[in-house]
Amino acid sequence: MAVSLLAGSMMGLASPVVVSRGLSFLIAEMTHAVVFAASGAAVLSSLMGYADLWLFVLSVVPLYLVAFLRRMGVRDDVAIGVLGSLLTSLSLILLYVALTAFGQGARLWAYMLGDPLLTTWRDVEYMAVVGAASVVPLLALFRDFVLAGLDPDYARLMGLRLALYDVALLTFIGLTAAVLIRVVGIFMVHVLLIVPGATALALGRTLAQVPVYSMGVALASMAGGMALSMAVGVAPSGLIGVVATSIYVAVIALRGPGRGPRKKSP
Amino acid sequence: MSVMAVSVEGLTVAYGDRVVLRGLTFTVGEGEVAVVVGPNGSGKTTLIRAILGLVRPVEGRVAMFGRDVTGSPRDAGRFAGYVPQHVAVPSFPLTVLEYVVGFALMRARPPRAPTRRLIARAMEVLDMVGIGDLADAALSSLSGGQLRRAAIARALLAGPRVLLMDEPLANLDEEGKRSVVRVVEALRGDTSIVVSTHGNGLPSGLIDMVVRLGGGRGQVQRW
Repeated sequence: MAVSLLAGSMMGLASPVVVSRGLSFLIAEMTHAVVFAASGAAVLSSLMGYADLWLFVLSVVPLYLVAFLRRMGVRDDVAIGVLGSLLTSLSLILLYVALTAFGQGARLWAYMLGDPLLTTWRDVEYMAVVGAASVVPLLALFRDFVLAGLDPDYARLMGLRLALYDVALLTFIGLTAAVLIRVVGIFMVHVLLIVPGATALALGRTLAQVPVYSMGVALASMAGGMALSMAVGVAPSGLIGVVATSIYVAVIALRGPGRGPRKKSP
Repeated sequence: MSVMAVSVEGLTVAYGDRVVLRGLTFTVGEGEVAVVVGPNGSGKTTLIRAILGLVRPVEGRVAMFGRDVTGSPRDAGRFAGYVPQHVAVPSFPLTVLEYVVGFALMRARPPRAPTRRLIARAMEVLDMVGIGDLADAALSSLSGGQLRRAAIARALLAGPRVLLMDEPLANLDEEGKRSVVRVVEALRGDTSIVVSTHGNGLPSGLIDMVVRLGGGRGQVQRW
């Protein structure tokens, strides 16, 4: 339960910032990045330990690289395509090494499938520290993160150091991905970084409501997925994703087609 | 000699090999209204952005009230409010009041929720630009003119000593234009205002000086 709360809070906060700042392209890169992170962490932790640290570092480095390529003027799709090719190639090499040289099959299965019910108290302590260190600042700066994406020039005039904010945001997304790999597995990370935020943006009328709704959707998805998992005897990560996506579809269906963001007439 | 609100000295701005502004020099006094005119592509927006530090000049210097703000939006923002030519429309839920107040709170450290006083002040500036009744409306539901007025309210909330507006009258209906003129009338004398436009907009009685741009050069005319 504690793990679900932490992971749900992290994804609930990261998700609307990602969606509202138009960073979904970056999350597409997460698909490659998390496979790279999981296979790399399996190899490096066999040599030096600290699996969670490697998981985080290897999740966030590809995000920094994409951001760097964009800053150099490379188009988003090109940056992601080039980096995706590199990461996929490296992942295949690392997976081969992890399986053949270090016998890390069990760890890789755990990273692939994820399972909040299998986390230990040590994992909970680790996630509590990581969660508190990232959720509190992001919650405090949520409004700035979103508005800076809307009008970066004005944010600079207001004294915001955008480069610093971008690094902080990418680091938080990397941390969230590292935690989500442990809880829901690598296949679901990018889905769960987008769906709660997208749902909250469809539901909310004010910016202040968005993180609340998003965290609510994330936590409901975690709880619903795990409850279903126990009822039907299937690994929970896929069910968490099914619940999250079902909530999104229900919200869109209830809102009606083609209405876009909710508006209040002047 | 009094300190000028805005001093532009020998400003040269280039994008790659293309020089947009060359050696431009002028000053705007406290409470004065300066209009920057010129055809499309003459560098009006570049000049406004260079004054704000959003564009770093190749040569020259910009100062506000004696303080060098060249290439530093952080420093320029302590004195100046800005109304961009194109106001970004959010793809996420954001009310007009949240938009106006949210940017003002970016300076608050540690981050905090808006105070009643700030909200009351925000309502005052929204009323001043004529969209007080839209405070709770979604920003994405506003017309182009209303959006521009929301951006003016955002700039005014911080109580700027210099207000820079880039083409504030473009694509506005008559009521929209009148509301912008009313804002300039109300601020003139207390706040220095720099307005870019490529046509007639502000009544000549409100204008203290004109900066004519063309071919990278600028001519300054006072009256």
